Amino acid sequence: MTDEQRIEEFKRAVQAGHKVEAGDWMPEEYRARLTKFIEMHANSELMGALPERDWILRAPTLQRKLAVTAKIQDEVGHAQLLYRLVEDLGKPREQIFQDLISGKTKFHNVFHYPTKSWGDVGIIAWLVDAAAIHSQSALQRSSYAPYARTMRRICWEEAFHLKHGEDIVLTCMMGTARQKRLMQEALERWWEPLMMFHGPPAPPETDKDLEWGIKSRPNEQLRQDFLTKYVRRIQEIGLTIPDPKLRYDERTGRWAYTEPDWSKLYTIVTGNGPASQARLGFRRLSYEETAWVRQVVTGGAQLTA
Amino acid sequence: MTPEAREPLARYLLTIADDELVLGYRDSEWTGVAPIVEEDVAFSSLAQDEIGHARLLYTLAAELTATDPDQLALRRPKGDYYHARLLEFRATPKYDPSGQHQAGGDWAKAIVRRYLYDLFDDLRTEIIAESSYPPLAAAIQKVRREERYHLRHDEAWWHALAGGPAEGRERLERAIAALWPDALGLFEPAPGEERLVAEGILPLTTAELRLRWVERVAPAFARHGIPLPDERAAPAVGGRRGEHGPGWDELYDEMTMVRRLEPDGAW
Amino acid sequence: MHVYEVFRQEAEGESMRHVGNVDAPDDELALQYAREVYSRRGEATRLWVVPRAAIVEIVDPDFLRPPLDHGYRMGEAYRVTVMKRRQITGKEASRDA
Repeated sequence: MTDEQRIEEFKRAVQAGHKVEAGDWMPEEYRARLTKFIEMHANSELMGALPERDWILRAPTLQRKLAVTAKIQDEVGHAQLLYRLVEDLGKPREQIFQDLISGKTKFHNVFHYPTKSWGDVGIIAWLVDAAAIHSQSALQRSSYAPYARTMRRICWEEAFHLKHGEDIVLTCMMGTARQKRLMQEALERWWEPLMMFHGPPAPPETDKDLEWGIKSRPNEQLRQDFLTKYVRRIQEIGLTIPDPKLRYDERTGRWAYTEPDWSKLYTIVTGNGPASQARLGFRRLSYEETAWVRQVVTGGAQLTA
Repeated sequence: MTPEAREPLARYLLTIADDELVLGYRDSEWTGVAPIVEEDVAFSSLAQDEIGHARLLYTLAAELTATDPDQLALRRPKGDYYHARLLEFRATPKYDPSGQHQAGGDWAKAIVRRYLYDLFDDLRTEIIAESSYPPLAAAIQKVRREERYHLRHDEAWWHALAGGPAEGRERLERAIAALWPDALGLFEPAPGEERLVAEGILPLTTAELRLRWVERVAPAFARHGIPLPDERAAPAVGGRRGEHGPGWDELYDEMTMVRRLEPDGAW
Repeated sequence: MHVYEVFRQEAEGESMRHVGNVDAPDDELALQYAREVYSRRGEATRLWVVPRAAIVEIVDPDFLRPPLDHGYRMGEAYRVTVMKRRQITGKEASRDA
């Protein structure tokens, strides 16, 4: 069998539902795409801890303090699970972090924005995590079994985050005018990033990650799922979604919305978002300040065995 | 318990709770910036445990003073917190939205603080577990079951840093030298402890734990040939009377920031 | 002879599950015996055979299920959330809330 035949056979197998394990043979393109896809996911979980992290110290009650701490712990915990997958695919951890800090690898658009108030903490935990859960649920069917299994654990934990976020938002929406304003302003800040979250509506047939079965649901479908589930829930508690064009079209069975400026998404994820450089700078600083610790525990060796 | 013991007991409960709260807050800052992601997660659990312990103790204090735990944790005036000064400084870098972040993250200090404090807290909770005030004894017995694993975590890092390459060892020694007077400040007694001892609510005062602590600390130092600093050095005191340093100013401002927007609101 | 613990994957994509152990003089025979004992009717799609000596174990509930309240991590802490939504919208919470 030639290499090409072997690759074709692999592709047919994953499209038919075959699951791949870490030690199995896989085409180089599959390995490279998986690595890139999971690494961006992992980076997003880690960088996602930073915007919320500032609010760990600021939570307004003991119960919220504990819940916020645990929530962000989970996000970093997800990064840890996902970095392990990337390491097993052959990329050492030091390299992963160097590529993140130098801007060579990316992280998700929503983590390039500042967090300005407690409102952001509620909106992120509720709606950003809700958007994430839609794509992550679909990833439980990934052809790469270690990723699919990891996603089961992550989705289970994300469900708690959603409740935690929703509870923060609802509590403020039942509170004073100032508390309600915190939430409305945060929603206005986060709506555009949320609409960009699932990426541009690429035709499924050109999406290579779909072709290899790395992911299983197209971008636009994920966005439609999100809107179907959350628009009413957002509106019925007294929040106003800042998009005059947003409506459900009965005829097509789809949500119409103001098309995000997709070039802006590209600008943001390439490190030019409002908080991109500050966040990367902080990641770099903390990484450099702790380099000696990694030297000590690994004797200078790579962390991955 | 006599009526005269009520106030010293409430004060003592606040003192321990404040220690746990402030350390919990500072340790929670490692989330996202620890040396390895595994430690981001581990330190967060340590922090959550400490805050959980603080909440338990504030609940006991609140029963004595007719208030509620959140009020005690987040709404006292800045000078009415009684934690030891060792616990209040920031060991992590600090994010600044402008990009001009504050450096100064120091894992060695974080580990030394945890280890020296947990050794102290182990002795303190050991005596409190014998308290004649049943709600306190019962609460502390549960706390000790979680703290046992904190000490194991601290010790693993202590040995890794002390027994590893020179750089880790040097940083550890610098951290010890910097924190030693603050660590001795842990033994500053809360006002009214003698009354609690007289009534059997406490078997010993906090100051009396100092010798036992040195006996625990000394072998951990000796094992790696780390010289034990002078245990008769002047301790950094004042914490138990509400006198704190700039680390507390910064932390207090942050931890009350959201709550201050609507102090009486539901959050 | 050494004791090896045996983990079995019963269908593609599933996690490895511990099923038992075998005694064997070396790794190769451990694999053979593991197949004989735990998959001779084709129950496995994959086997892992691990020297027992390599396993680090902890069973202490103080560590695994700590005694104090950590309910803020779990869904039960948010049962009130459903009530809040009901209160704010003035209607029954949606079924899948």
